[in-house]
Amino acid sequence: MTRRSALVFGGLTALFLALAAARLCIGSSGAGWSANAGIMADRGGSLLAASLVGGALALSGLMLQALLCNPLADPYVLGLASGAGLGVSLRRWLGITGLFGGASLWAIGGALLASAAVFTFGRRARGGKGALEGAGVDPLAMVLSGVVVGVFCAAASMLVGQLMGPGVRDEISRWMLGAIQPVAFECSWGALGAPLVLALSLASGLAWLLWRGPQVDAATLPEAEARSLGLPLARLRILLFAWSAMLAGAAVVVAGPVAFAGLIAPHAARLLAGPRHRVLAPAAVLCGMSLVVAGDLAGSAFHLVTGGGVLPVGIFTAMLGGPAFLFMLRKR
Amino acid sequence: MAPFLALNACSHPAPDPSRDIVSLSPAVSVALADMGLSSRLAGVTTDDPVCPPACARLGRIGALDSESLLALKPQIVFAIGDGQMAVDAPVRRRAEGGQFRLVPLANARTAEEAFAQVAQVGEAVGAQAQAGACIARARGRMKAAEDLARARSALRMLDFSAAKPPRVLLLSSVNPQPAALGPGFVHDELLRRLGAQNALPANAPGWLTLDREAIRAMAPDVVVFLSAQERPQEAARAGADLRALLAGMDIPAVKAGRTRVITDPLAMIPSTNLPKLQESLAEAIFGNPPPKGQP
Repeated sequence: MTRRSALVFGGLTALFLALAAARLCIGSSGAGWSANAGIMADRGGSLLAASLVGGALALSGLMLQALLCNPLADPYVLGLASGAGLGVSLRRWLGITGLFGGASLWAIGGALLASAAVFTFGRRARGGKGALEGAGVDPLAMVLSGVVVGVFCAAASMLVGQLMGPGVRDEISRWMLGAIQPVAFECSWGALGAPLVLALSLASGLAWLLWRGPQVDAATLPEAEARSLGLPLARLRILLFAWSAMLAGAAVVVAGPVAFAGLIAPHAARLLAGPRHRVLAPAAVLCGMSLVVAGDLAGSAFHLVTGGGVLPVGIFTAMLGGPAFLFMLRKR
Repeated sequence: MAPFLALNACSHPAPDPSRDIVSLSPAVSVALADMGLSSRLAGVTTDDPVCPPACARLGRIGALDSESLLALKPQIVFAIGDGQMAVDAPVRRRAEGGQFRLVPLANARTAEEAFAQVAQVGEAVGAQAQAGACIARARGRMKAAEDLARARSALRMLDFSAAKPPRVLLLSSVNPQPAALGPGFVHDELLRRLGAQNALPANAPGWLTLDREAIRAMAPDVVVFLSAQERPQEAARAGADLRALLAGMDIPAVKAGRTRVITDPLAMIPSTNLPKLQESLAEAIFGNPPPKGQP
């Protein structure tokens, strides 16, 4: 590890720990360490869920940006989060329970289907001869396909809500804003299923990216150069797409489609840690964790200061991410 | 071409002179049904829980199917506010041209405002007597529910002290974030009429999103989830959602088993259904707590 990397990790870890400590000390009911163990458990549950969601979305965004060689790629922009949302909405509409009724299963399935659609249409947009020849990946066409798939899935979710009546429709509308569902330590094992799936997805995704970091670095090179290095590009891309969909799906179950967290965090990490994925991946995860924890903290602090209600985290990430997206779009 | 024309001809509901009212407010539909006039309803909104057979669904407020509305040739159209939100310009022009009467109604925030609205509806449709009877019946039922609640409170059939009013957290949704009804809504008034108190502070907004910590800090004596879901599985889910939200909380409501789901599609609609809602609330607050684990 270089001195710069050590400094970056030290700084990002310190930032995350400071935000985590602030989240533990500031809640919707008051500031300071609470003597009530239940309140501390609630804050800890929110902190854990926000950290996992932020880390997973950041890693998902990083994988998509590497895959598409496109700085604008993110699970929200590419429609993966909306696909996961549609999966969850469909599960509810169909009333499926039991072995195949797990929310994570449907969300990951929805995200995978959305990513498959984006991948397919992104390739075919230029008859399979995109800018990255061979695997047929056209970064711009893929982002455009993602936007369309995202809009379609969001509209389909609203349609499902419409079919289920006004109560559920409003619920789905609010859920689409992105709101952290805290890990409830007192709840049954069943309630811990979604956070557990998310934690496993994040840990395995991060481990895989650390292991395959140099290959992913090479995959971001121009197509011909990457091929000359003997990279199995098609396989790597499918794997990256599938893994990013899994991460986005698992995160959506816990927090809904949180906008732009997967876009900002990898960029912030790249600015600090450079382009090498072995360093970039953990830095992006730390950035994502800090971002979503900060959003969650701001949502609780808003209620504490104004009494106006606990705001969903998606509002803050969208307010930060929207201008950042436009800035990058303009720069591009 | 012929099948297309036939299909097109069937796309709008045919007008029926005996059905002369379009209600763009569920509160009006409920009132008309209670007055025994639901057979006069020609069209209602998509979300309206009252929709008698042969009554057309006309879409949602803000996305109304104005063509279908006009095709029904109604005599009276009830709309929220001044009708700006509910109906678009062509419909308003027809109303101004005298084709039908557009009756604007304000959102009722108290029971008396809701009853005044019922009287207004009765007057507009020429059924003052039915409206008066409905209002009298509703007032009588509400008074009876209040008396019973006070009696139960006085007899200390409660888990909480009768000396101070029980603090009730009224949730309008649980997923993805719990949201509570605060002061300024008719539900808050119903609580006060029953001798209970809203767990939200008096200066809270009318609708407030919360989290587990905020609920824990409020420590309500009773938690009631007003679920407007109609589908049976959604009603069952409402109970499971409330249980999950309150799991492990050491608040008085959970300790005393006073957590309840009221499943009623009309729960959020202030009209002649208010007595039924008040009775449900009284049962939830002052009745026997349900068996453990069943909200």
